[in-house]
Amino acid sequence: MNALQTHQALLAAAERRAIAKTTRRHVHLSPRPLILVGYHLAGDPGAPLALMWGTSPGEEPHCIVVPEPRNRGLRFEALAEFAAEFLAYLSEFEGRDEAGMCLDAPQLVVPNAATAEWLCGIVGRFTRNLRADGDAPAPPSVPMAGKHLSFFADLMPGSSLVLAATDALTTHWQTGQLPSEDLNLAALLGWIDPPTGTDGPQAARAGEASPPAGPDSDPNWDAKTLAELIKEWHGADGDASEFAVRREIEGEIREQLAPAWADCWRALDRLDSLPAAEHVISRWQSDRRNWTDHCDRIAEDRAYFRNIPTPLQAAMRLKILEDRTEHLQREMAWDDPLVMAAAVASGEALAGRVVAAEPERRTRNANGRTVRRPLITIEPTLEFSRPAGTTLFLSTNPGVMLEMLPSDPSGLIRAEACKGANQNNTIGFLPNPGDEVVLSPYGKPEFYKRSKLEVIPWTHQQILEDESEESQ
Amino acid sequence: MKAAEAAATTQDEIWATVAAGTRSTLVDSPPGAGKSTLVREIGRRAGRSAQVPLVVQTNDQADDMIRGFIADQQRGAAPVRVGRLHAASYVPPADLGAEQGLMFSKSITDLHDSTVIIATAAKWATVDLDRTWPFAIVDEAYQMRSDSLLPIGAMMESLLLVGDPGQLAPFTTADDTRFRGRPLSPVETAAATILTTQPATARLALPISWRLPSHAASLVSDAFYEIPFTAGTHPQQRRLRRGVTPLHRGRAAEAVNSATEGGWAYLELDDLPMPQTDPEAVAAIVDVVKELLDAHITIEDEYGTRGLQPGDIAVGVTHRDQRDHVRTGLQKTRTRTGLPVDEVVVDTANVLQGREFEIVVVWHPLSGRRDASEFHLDAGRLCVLLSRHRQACIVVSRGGIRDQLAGHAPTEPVWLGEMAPALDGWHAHLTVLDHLMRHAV
Repeated sequence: MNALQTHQALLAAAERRAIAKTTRRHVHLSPRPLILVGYHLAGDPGAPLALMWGTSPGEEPHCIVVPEPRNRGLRFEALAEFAAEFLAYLSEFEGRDEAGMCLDAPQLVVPNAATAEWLCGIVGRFTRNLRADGDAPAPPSVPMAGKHLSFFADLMPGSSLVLAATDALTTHWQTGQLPSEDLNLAALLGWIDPPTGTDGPQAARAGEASPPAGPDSDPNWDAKTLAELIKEWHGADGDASEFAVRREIEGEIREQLAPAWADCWRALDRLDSLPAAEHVISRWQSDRRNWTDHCDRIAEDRAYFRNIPTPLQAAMRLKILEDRTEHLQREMAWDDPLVMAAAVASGEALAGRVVAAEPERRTRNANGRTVRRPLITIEPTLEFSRPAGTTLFLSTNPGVMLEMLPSDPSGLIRAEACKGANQNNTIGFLPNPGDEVVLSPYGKPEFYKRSKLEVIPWTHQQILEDESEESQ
Repeated sequence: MKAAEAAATTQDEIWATVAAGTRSTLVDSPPGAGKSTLVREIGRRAGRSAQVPLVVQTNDQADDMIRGFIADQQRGAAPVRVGRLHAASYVPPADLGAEQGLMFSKSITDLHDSTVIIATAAKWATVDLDRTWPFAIVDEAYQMRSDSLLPIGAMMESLLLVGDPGQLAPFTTADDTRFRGRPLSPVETAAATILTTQPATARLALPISWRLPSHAASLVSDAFYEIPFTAGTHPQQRRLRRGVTPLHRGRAAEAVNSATEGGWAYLELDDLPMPQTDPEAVAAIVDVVKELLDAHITIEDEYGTRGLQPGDIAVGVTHRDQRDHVRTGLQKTRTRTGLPVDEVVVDTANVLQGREFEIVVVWHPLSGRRDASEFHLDAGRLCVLLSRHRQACIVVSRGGIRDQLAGHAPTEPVWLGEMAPALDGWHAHLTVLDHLMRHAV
């Protein structure tokens, strides 16, 4: 937690309302998202109890229930029903442009990261490799849906293909409660969007009293309602009475899941009230590219997912993960003055007004050559105590790199441009006296060409015991 | 001298293993046990038959390695042509470059003539994979990430890996949940990967620390190492002498006295939870550094007697913002007093790994914290900070470390399939604290 965030958390607690952490929206919002909420049987993530989904806040959401979650026949029957509609939703995003890229990508919205992890991770994993032939064939739609779910399971930082409402909201707002308490969507929304006449903590307490957003259900409801209904299901004889019990379970479950369904839409509304940050579109572009690649793999029947990646895959994945993590951080800071303010408050970045500029200044570099090093003098807004030699980048034009010079007693900061504003064609990027500037640690990302490995080298080839026995 | 003989024997043993064509050899080395000397010596011997790539982890380590080769040559070792492969943005330090037989280039093709090629693992990853070398040496194999070893493995047919198992493990800035506990995780150490994939790896150890003075070797060995080691020098061989007795006595002066007399000093500030860049801790460290330079200290060791220079001192911290605040403090002191205190090296434990100084001032990783998080409790971090010095170590900290350790509840998850660290950070911290309390000023 940085200094500004600590301040915001204390302020939120004192004012009993959430405080904005951003002035922009840093996630992409699809015009046609698929909202998904669901429960699994307590203690058994492999046994879905119910799923509820839909693409419009005005419509009655679809709902499937498994009246006996331990019954595999019923489980896959219900999953087949979901799979058919899930595939129908995804098929809306198959249209391509001339370059072969999908015109848009789907977006799944779930109440919290735990639901995403359960649905895309666990349900995806146990359905994607089901066989559609053999003794107990699964409907082909189920493994296909599992492959798609698995695609949504392992996303990169900055991706908006899956939005967990609690994560998206805490990126943009700071509550006065503990981060672990923010995991409850209803409570979190209470802080951010309290109903008229209440304040954040009151609304949060009310939210905590409503049925959980899943994927775990309320244990009291389990014991009092669900257990009884499952017993009734087992006691039912004949299709008509089974149907009646099923209707009853569905009614009860709808009542439990409806608040989370509505809260997901409320979360989207709150996010939609913020203007999109500049880099959101380029990150969505990369989501579209990933979706396109995934569609290609599905079309060519190559959509495989490894539980244990090879060393080459793991290394490549980690590299991308590190890059994306860093890119997201700097893009958010560039796009959003309030995010950048956190860097200024922590002392990493420098904000101030340019009081003098010497665009023609020349000095001698380490090799003794005379080089152009334009100088700007800045009156800092906050005390800036990084040492001489620190390099920072102009926030409005991160290609301009400046090095801090030794400070003088006046408290003014002198910085020389060593890159991006020291040639005739770039000198215009140098700030002018009177300009308000922010110098941040976020420079343009550098790309290095790396040699691409095709074969796992001897250092990473693990000889497993059973393999060595085979080779003997 | 017995210690020197033992070290020479180990070196010959390692060379015999390598020369026999062993595909992978791992040498465990405590701090300052002549790891770099070993790397250069094996590099020279192997260089007689083929060009030897040397893989290091940071540019500073690469530069230090070059300086080592130059120093060896001045002491009469056979001259080698050293090639330094580097990134386009790298500027060679002022003291290197004009030396004979030294070649700097950003392209491997310019260095076909060199006996050894020194480059960071990151730079090696950019070299085209169309050629291979029969043998290469990896320095700091416990600091190197497994994924950095991939391109090395693709280019090198056999490897000698040397490293210090007590050092900081590599890390990632990304969320590594998906990689934890997986076989051959990209974030584990290169040494761990080699031991997993090559069970036939020859394992040897260097037994003697030449860097650490005798009063530090026993502590560091007890607190941080599974395989014990000893100091290569006698207590009377290393000594610091104050040239000036201070007029105004203060805690910084007392700390310097304690360090010159017994090799250790512990300067404890009031027990307060503070932000990471605790201004009083910065001020205390700056005072100690100023006092060190004011005292006109003379260093005596096995090589002779000389005056303490600013470059002989390092300040070791935990976070980069701490580093920046200490550097700023030193720069301001220089402006005010004219003392060259800003020539002292200030850096984080990660960057100081593998480096050596006469006196090290340590900002205790747990200083001013409310909780002892796994990051700050990491035995490797404390070990790096306490094992960089040849003469003396001064630790600056807020009080209350013992309470912090006693009240610490581990919050990090345990990962299935991941080996538990051999060393308990909690225990190492307590051992060190007990020792430091005896040198409190």
